[in-house]
Amino acid sequence: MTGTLALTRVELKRLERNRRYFIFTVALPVVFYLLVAKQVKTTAYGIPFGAYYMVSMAMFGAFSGALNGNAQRISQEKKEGWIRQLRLTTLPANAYVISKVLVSMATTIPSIVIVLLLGRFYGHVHLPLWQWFAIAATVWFAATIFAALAVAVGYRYQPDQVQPISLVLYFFFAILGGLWFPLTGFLGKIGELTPTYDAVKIGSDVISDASVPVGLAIGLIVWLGIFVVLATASVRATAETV
Amino acid sequence: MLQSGGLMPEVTVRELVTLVTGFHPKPEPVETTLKRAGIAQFADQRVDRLSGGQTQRVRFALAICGKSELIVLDEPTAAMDVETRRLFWDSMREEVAEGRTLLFATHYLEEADQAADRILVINRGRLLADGTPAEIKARAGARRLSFRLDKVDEQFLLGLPALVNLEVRHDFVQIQSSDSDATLYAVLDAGYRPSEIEVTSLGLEQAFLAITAEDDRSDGDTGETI
Repeated sequence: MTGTLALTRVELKRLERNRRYFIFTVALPVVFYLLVAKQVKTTAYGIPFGAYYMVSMAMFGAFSGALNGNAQRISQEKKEGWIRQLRLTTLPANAYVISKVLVSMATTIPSIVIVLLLGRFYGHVHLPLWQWFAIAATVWFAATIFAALAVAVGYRYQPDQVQPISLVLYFFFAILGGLWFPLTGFLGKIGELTPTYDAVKIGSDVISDASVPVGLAIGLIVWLGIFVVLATASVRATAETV
Repeated sequence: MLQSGGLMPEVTVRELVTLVTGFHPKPEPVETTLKRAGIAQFADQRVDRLSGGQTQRVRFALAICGKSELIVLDEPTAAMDVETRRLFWDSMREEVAEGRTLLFATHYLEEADQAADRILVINRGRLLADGTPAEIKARAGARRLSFRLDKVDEQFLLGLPALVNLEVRHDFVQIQSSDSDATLYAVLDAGYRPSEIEVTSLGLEQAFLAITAEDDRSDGDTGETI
């Protein structure tokens, strides 16, 4: 485990040097929030739009960082043979994947915190302390689900294929999950199946009802299960070529 | 150590070597590794901004960063420039002098000749020879004897002592022999007076070619498949 943590520390250092990553995870949701939050006067999911948009933008930044950054990097590092090189060391075989997920979990935290702070001080969202933590934890957990999806995509596909694939997944889960605007009608019904919707709805239910909806939480866990199975299959399928 | 293979980008050479050293149960001091691999002078450069030869030295550093008893190298010098290659073998000799075993695959037979104590020749997955460089060369017919002869009697030449291989082109005769003196004396004793006599020693590369060619020929004759 010490080796895995050492690898994680170095991975974090690499990410600090990669500014592009933070444009996706921090800058984009912040800019969206500043542009949109106060323009819409209606409610969404039964709470003021500014509060809904705070939760959805926190989710947006965190999930896109976990998905886009990781899938591309994993695929690239697999192609270039870094993963193979690591296998020559005494590190356990799963150390690489574990460190990628840990790094993803660490890097989504600042993006979530910044968007929530923005909601509090710019969007004037006032909540009891436990609700802030419940929202942050939900978004954090949901973003981690997408780190597993990134492993599934990155391990299975070549870098030039990963680019369009993760872009499609990115738009799919952002739009159908109602991260940019709440969906209604038929698309809304389909969207309710996505983990991004689950997370935002849990956040808004926490705000409106002051309670945590168990059904949606189970939905998130099911999605985690699906992505972990996919990731394991991808890693196994390419194990011989590593 | 791999022939090729990516390294982690966006970190410095020192960070990478430190990281991999940390995985090792019996690590060497990082500075020692950097110096041995000849990468100390660019240790603070980023891994993804190195030249091919420098990158290969970093891979080499990763292979020697722990006190391993056995170091396995797959075509270690394939991407190295001349100077790096010399430096590489110098540090490898240091490793061996400390009692470590070095196992490497190479297509540069000169290198194998100079660096290896024991050589295995493998052709199409089959072990053909196993011995010291001198033994391998002896097995292939250590010397090549060539001369010109007006009236060539091939039957006689094939019966020469210590002959391993014979090639005749018009009046030009080339013989691979495991004992060139004996072969040459037999020619002279039979009353022949060849001209332009040349005896050259075979390099390991020619020995290798001779051994594998012999193997390929015998395959052709017996129709054996591998």
